[in-house]
Amino acid sequence: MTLTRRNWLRLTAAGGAALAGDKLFGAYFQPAQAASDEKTLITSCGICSPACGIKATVKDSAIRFLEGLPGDQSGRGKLCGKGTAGAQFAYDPDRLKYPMKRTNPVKGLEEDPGWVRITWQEALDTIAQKFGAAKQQFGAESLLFITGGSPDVWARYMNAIGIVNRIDHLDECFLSDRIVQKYTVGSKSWCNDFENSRYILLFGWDILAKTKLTYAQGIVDAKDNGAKVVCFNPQFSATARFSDEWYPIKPGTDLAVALAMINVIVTENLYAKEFVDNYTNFGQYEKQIREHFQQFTPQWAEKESEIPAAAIERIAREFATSGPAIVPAHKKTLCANYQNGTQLVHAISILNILAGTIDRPGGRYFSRAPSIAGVDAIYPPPAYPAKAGRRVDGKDKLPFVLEDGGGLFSTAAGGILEKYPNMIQACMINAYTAVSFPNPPRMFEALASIPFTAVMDVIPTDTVSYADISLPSVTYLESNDLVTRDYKALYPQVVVRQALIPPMFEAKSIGYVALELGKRMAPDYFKQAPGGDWIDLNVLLDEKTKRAGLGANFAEFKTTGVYTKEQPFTPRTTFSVAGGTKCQIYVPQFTAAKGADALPVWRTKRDLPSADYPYYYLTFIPAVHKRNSTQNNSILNEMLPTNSAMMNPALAQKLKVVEGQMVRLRSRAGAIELPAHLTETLRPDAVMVAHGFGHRSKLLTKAGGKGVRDGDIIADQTADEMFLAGNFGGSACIMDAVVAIEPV
Amino acid sequence: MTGTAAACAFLGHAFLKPDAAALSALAEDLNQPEARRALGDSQGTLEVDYNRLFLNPGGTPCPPWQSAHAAEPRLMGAAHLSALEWFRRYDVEPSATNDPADHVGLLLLFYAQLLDSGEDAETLALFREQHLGWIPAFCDCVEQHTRHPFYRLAAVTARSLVTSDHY
Repeated sequence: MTLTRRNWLRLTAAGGAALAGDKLFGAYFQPAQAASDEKTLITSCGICSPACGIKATVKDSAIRFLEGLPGDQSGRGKLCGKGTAGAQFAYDPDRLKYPMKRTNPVKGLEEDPGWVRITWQEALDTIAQKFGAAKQQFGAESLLFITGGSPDVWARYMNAIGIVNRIDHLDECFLSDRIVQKYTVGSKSWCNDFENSRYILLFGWDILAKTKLTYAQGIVDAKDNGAKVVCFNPQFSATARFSDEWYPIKPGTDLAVALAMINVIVTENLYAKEFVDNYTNFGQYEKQIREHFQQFTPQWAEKESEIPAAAIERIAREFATSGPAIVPAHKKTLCANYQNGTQLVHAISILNILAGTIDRPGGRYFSRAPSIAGVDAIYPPPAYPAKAGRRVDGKDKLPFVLEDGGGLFSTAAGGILEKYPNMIQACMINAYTAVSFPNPPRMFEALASIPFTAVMDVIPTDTVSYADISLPSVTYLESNDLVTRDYKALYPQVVVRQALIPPMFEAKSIGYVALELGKRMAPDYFKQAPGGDWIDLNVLLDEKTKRAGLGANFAEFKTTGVYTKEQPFTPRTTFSVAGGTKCQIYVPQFTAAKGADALPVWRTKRDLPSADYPYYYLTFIPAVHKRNSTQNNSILNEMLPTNSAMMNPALAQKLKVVEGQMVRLRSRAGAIELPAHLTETLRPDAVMVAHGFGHRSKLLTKAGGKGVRDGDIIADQTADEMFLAGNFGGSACIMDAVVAIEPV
Repeated sequence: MTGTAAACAFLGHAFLKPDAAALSALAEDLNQPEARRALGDSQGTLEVDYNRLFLNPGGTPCPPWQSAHAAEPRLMGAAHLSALEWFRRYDVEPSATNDPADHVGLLLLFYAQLLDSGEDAETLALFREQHLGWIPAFCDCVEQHTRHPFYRLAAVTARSLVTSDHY
């Protein structure tokens, strides 16, 4: 068969002679451009934070294939399942496509918002007008930004309009560790040198199942190199199976074991003497330290944790004497699960200090990433207005959290609904869903109470149902940026993030929104110089590229894609710790604040089993998903579409529950119903549910209506409760529930 | 333009933009009286229903792209590339270059043009096989989810057109 080529558009060009059908055709078609050849582009993954390098195959503005980038420090030439399925994010038929405004003023999950399409111009004008009006009438405190603190242009916008109430998920993540690390070793680091460790001690963190590729590869290499891996986890996790020793610890008692290990190492003087003497404040506070840890004997810890005292003693001795040792604290696991998370990360930091592996081979080291100038360095802004107003999340009650600036999701609903009702008049949400808050139904109630809300996201989440205006966001595959290596960063490396394809439909970046809202609301801050031209994001990126020495401009750096400056690793001898140059075991700054302790003390988890709620409630993030954002990815959805109540067969038998039977889990916060799944891998006094499911939006074609929200039975909290409980690092207690289990 | 071509062209436009006034005028031009009646006085409501069906920020019940109806639903899949190839053989391509080429409206407009330009039966059959086979299922979805008589009619008409032996 031969197809004849004909230029139909010529008909249209004939003007009056053209038929209606031809005019119609000409409205949506244009003369063909030359088809583009298949090309290979370098970029970096945006699904999770190590940002592994990607080699992408693209043809005709369509991504055909994503694979690992050879020579990349982070992914070492590989991608995980999520990264490989990345194009599905850009190509999700459900993704947000155009700016929209609601026509039905009634907000709720079951309400049809009556969306009508609007232009970006109208969307930005409306948002700027609503935010400006709220600020003018009710003050800056009336604006709630549920957004990250970056990119730099977004931070500049928030500073320019004096945002007081910005909240993010960090209390559910690593906030407590970031605060503690600042005062113990200098700063939170993402670099764990597992490969060179001889002893890896894990409290809870399921490294292999979390599939941060760089860590998974590291721990596998460590094992190959003869390291011993010891794992404490109520679940026989993937990492537990891989470990040399696994202990099904009583939930929320990791702190007791860590304190007792410090007791053994200090009492028996097994710590790394050269490091501790020269680079820590042990000498200055030796008396207090020795006295304080005396109470935490292995025998005491056994009673709390159910880990045999003899095992704790032996593990402490092995940890201190086997060679380079590391006990990582990563994110949610450890740092945010329980109310005693802050004490736990402090104890863990002390163990790493005693092992002498801070910024040493086999330990936690600081990233050798090169610095990239931000917008404020390139275009210095006028002085920012002072920030004034009440904190809806109660952050002012927790001075270290306030100083850090991160968090607090776990207190937001209470603040909006009860502590400061009617204070929040307008809200901006970027790339967050209320599903990720503890007790999402309360957060939905809080969102419904806010007069105006704009939501920007890639995929439709339940939160979009509460938007007055919804804005389509680009994915990382449609974005340009410079990404420094900070997970595996033994030497400086920068990888490009480039738009592989033009933004789908009318998607834009949050940087664009910052700039456009900024021009409308605080124009003086968005000029390159006073009275000069507007800041241009492309020019800004070129300038960043040039100043970092990556190339003459971004286009040039894109062609190489990677900047690497290999150099030998030189361990630090001075540490930029708040208040000095030495690592701090004893943190004197903590004594200055009420509710904090200079040395970690024993505290229990928040909710303990009782007659009403006899079982521990555990949650986890399954390997194939990233939190709650990937359940609508068709490939990942097929791998794991829903969640279940995982329980030990012994517990199921006691409850007279069989595989697949619906059960109700009830806590003081609420109840969820889901099918039971029996597994020998759990303690018989606990039930475990995967996070990320239970999207109620019926129109999320793949994830909608599947599974339940694990957070519905986890209580949110108030800043006062956190303060009283010594939760000064701001753990959101996202696993701190106990439940009753009833067959339905 | 013949009856079938005119109907396809009209439906193509109907699935591309919810502009009641323009569609009404077009229904007149292309002699689609039923469509005109179904549009009635629906400025506003038509757009809301269109957005709910096809562009919903809460999730799209009836994605109007062929790739979204493949075994592995997505945008910009094989059907996008194939549609683009078809278009380019005739020296045209969609004006909205960032959007997928396998939109039901574009496919119907293109098919109307194939019919109207007297393309041979073999070519027409090949295009139908490669790009119109999914439309009945799509129309079922629209019929099930729509709250507007116009889209119900559009779904019924489009389905009968692409399943008819005579087109």
